[in-house]
Amino acid sequence: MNLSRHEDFYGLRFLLHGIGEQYNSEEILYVAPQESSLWEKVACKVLESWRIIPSALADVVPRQLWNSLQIQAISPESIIAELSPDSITGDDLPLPEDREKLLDISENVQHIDMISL
Amino acid sequence: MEENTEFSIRPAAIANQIRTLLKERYKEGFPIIKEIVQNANDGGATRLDIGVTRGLSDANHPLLQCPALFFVNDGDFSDSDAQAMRWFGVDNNAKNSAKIGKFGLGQKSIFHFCEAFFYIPRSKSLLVNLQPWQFLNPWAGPTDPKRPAWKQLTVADKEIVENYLKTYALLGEQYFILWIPLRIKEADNRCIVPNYYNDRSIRAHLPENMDAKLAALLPMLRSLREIHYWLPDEAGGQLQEEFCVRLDVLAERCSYPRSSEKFHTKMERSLFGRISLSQTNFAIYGGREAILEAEKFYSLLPLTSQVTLDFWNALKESEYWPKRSTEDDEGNALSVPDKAVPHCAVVFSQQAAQGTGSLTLQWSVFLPLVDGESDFVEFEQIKCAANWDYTLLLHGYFFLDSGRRYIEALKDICEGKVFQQTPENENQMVQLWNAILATTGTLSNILPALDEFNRQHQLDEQDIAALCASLQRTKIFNSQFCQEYLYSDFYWVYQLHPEHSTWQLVKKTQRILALPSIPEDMWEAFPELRRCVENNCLVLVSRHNLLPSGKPDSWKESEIQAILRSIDVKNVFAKPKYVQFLVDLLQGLSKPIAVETQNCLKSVLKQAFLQLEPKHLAHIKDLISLIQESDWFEITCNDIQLLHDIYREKLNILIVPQGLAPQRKIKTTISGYDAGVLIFCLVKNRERIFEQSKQLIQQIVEATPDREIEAFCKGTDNLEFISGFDCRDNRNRFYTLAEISALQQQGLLFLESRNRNFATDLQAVLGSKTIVLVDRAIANKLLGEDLRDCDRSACLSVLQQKPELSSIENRTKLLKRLL
Repeated sequence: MNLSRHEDFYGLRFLLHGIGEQYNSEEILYVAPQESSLWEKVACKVLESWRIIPSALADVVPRQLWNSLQIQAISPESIIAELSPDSITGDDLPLPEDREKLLDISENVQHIDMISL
Repeated sequence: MEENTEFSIRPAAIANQIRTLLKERYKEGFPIIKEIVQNANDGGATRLDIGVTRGLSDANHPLLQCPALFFVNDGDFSDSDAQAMRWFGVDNNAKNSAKIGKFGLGQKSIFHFCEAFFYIPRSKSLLVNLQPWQFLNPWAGPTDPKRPAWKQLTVADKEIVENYLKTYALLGEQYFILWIPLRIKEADNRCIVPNYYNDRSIRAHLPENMDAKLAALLPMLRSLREIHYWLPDEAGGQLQEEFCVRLDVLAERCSYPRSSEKFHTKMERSLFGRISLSQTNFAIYGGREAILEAEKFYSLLPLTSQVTLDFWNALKESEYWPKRSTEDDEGNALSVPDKAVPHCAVVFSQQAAQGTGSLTLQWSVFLPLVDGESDFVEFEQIKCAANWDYTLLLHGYFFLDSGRRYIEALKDICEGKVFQQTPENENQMVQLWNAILATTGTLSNILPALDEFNRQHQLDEQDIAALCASLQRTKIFNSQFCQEYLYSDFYWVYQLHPEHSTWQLVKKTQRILALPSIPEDMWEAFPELRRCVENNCLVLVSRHNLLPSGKPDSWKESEIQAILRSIDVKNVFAKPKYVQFLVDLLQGLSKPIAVETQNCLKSVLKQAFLQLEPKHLAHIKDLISLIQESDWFEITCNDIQLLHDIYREKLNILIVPQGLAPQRKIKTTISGYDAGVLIFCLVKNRERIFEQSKQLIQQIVEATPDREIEAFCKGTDNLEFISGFDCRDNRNRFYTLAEISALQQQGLLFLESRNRNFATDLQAVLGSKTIVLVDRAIANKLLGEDLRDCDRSACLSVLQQKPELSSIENRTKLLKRLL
């Protein structure tokens, strides 16, 4: 994580997530991809909804500022880092191919070997 | 045989004495005529004829054949007069205070024109002299070897002279003829003075306006009533009357107090009359004469009870009282006390001016002393803005200086420099006598004389004003010392009255109040003035009233307030002349005008603003400028409804409609209370004057000093008067001070600016909160702290309050702007 924080960190992030109670939060905000994906689905399962910000908003923020605002795109790596054993079940992934992908990854990820698919 | 101790006087010595006399004492021209007039008057003549003749060709005497001046009067001529004609430097009239100096030194002034002269008297008073007619030649002693033909006047020649004058009906039962052969240059150059004349050139040596000058003398003469002037015609030298000045029969003139009279009682008399100069040209005169009471002169002697019993005798017996040398009836030299007559007179006369009008002031002992010499107090000539020549003769029985042309110490008298203690020598006695007579006598009588002059002749008001203006410029009226006596009892003023304003003599005790003008129908417009005239004398400032320094009196503030309260506001303020009158009247008050009077004026002006539209009040700026600047406030609006609402409220400050305010020197300020009331009125009228109201409110708020803001806020707390831009509704609206304060506390109040981009985007983001933009001046003044612009930083501050946010689309816009 980039330690150089934007000077208007909280205000700008508030505009992105829009949740007053989370104004002082410093947690990473994830940018939802424009097209729905497995990882977005996973993200929606494993993250609080306010942390996933619309790409339409995030795209206004230049990429080089993302780090300083704690913004990340939703990616396998980033989402996996947020995963916990009971954060997702097979019911959450009705498509077989999605479950396959997740299992492939879980083999390589030590801390999600308990995922019950 | 008794030894002869007298001086022997030779003809050359007499000629030298005459020469000195002419040089030092008697000027050529009118002064000589004046002496002749004086002598005729002393002789009791009623008529004097002055003529120029080419000479009497049928006479034997050579000096009768040449051009001459002649003077004929119908007065008395006595043996002593005959004696005086021959005397030189001895006053034959020393004992007779009714005569000024008949045939004394003054008579010798005729030697300006001649080397020798003839006189022919015919009078019942002549007892001794068998042949009273004479030829007098100062060069003879008794014969004149160089002029052997200059012999005594023969009977035949005397009759030729008489017959010549009878042709023109100039001789009556009694007469005195003075025949002055004009000096002709002789081969041996012997002459008293080298001035030569003929019947033409002599006219240039007499004043052009001799008729007017003679007319001015008549009021001061006792007997002489008419003076004729004759000149030879061009053809045969026949005499033609050039002019005749004649006193009317009803005239009252100066009395000549007799030496035998005792001056125990005070006497005051009016002098007046009319003098014809031609059939259409008249001179008029009027004045006063007085004999002063002895008490006024007591300071001349160390006082004892005996002195006060017969003061005048005691005075004459004083060792310091001046004396003159004369001869008694037996021819013995005699020293007699000088005349002491406490007599004075003041006479104004008026006649048509040839060119610019004038005022000639002349001090006189009956007849004026100095003529045409401006460096002396005795004579002063000043222009007068009238078509008249005025003469003011100031007579007193004064002692003259050694040259007998000037009043002893008159300059010092007029400057208050004369020693006022009991005299210790003759000089002090003379000066103090003159001072008492001139001040308590002559000067004190000038205003009563002017009043008499006016009363007798009903002078035109403008002419009196012009005369007074000239008087004000004279030395005596400008002398602080003289003013004490000029105004010892009275003032002379143009007294204003509702029925009839006139020039008046008013008592010194009268309170005098000045008005700046008399606008038409003033008494109706300012009814309080009618009450003022009951107890005061109202005068016009511009009328050249004769008042001392320190007058007129000052108006009391209460009187001015009463005048202000009494006026018919609608009538007075609709007319510039009345407003100007008020301005001038108030400007005459001591500065600054009292607060109570200012309040009164403010109240009257307020009524004027209520009753008249501002467009009809353009002339009142000067009046407003008399109010302290802190007490009036110009509102940049002329909405009648608004103004009326304002004037119905109880405001401490006077609200002046737009365009009527005078120039300011200090910044406009208004109290918090007054500002609050104004705001109330503005809010009330805002719908009608929406455009102006914002600007007016701003003007009022800016004019309210910081120390007054608290009071202002108290009075306006619930009034929607602060204009702000509602970013949610995208429109201007008015807020109460409470609302604005709340917005400020919520961090939603920002400064209005041209660029509202941040404000617009921020507002779009906010779900329920509203951003308001207000004017910087009002906000800063009322909120007491600097308000911020709605910029990037402000937006972030608002976001920091974690407000409810609106759509992603709106947030996107703001985000873009913030980044």
